[in-house]
Amino acid sequence: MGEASNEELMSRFCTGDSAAFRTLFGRLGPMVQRFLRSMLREPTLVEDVTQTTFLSVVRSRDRYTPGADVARWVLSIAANAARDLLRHRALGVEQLSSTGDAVERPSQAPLPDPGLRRRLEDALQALPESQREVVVLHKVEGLTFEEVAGVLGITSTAARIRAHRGYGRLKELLVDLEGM
Amino acid sequence: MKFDELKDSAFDPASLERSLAALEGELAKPPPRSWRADVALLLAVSWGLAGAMTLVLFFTDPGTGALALRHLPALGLLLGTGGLAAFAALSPPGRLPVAAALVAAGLGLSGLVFLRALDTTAASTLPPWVCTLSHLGTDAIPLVIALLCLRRSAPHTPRALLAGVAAGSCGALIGEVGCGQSWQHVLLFHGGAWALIALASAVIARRLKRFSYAP
Repeated sequence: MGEASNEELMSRFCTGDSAAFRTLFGRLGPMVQRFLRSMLREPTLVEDVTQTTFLSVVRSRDRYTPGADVARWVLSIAANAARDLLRHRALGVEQLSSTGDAVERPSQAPLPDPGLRRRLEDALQALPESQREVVVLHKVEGLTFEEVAGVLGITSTAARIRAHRGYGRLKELLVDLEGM
Repeated sequence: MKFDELKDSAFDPASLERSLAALEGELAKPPPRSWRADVALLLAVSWGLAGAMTLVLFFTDPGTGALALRHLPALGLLLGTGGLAAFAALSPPGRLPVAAALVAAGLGLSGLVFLRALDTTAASTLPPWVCTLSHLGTDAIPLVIALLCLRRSAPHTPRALLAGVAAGSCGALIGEVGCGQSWQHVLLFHGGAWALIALASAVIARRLKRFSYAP
């Protein structure tokens, strides 16, 4: 008997099978973490938003349309959560304690970070959030523009335009790298 | 570009384990209220409050019954607009296009004004802003419910506007049974209050802490 698909696992979870959720988490967690790492970079934020993403999956399982691509659905939740966090940070309302002081986050040892990867991550961070999420989903996660559009709730034309602008900017930033 | 470097980047299994452990408590809880229950709750509160206020008007103003009968088409239009808006605002994407629901909401307001133009009954002795104030006052409770329901999905301004339209249908319904003034009055003092409620919903919803980020 073959392995259950993500969609089958999600259906089982929707009917109360928590073990199916844990299996889904094992399959999709690394993808979500990788996406959020490219979007947010900071490990503590990535962990927080990964948790928020799957918390949303648990809390909103009734909003999942049976048969829909679960990976795309979870990625769209991660993108929504990351976008909201970045927006709140831009407004200066995130990471503030009740006293208004910046919250001390526990320091974490950075992941092994070879020079090239750091350059790529730096360049991605320099992109506007709307372009970054399209580039990451398209280039890193390998989604088509139609799939990217579905995840982000935009048209595929808008996804292509954002990607085009993002790649243009990345080329400027990474002009000295070979194999561009 | 060399994006395989990012694709192959090591993930953090310990972080994932911590996240999964933190989710165990949530998994043990019973399933949360469904979005269908949210739609029903918003409409029940909005229309229930309108119904209660109508009853009060029946007992305090003898002309209310006749006015409500004359405005039956407008009341039907409002129920349809409010129901459609609540469904589009709170259901998952793909069930009802949000753009279509926004157009329907605009048509609902236009229809309300048009119907009043066909059947204006009387000028009121009260100042016109009384209608606006009572509209805003009665919509406050449905608006709170709408905002609580909106917290259960990702921020989405058009959906928040529609939730405000659904909440505002409460005051609009009361306006139809309690006010017989001109179409200009309906457009400015009823429609303006309705638009304010929709706008307030959109502005406040963006700043809410979310219960979930599901689309």
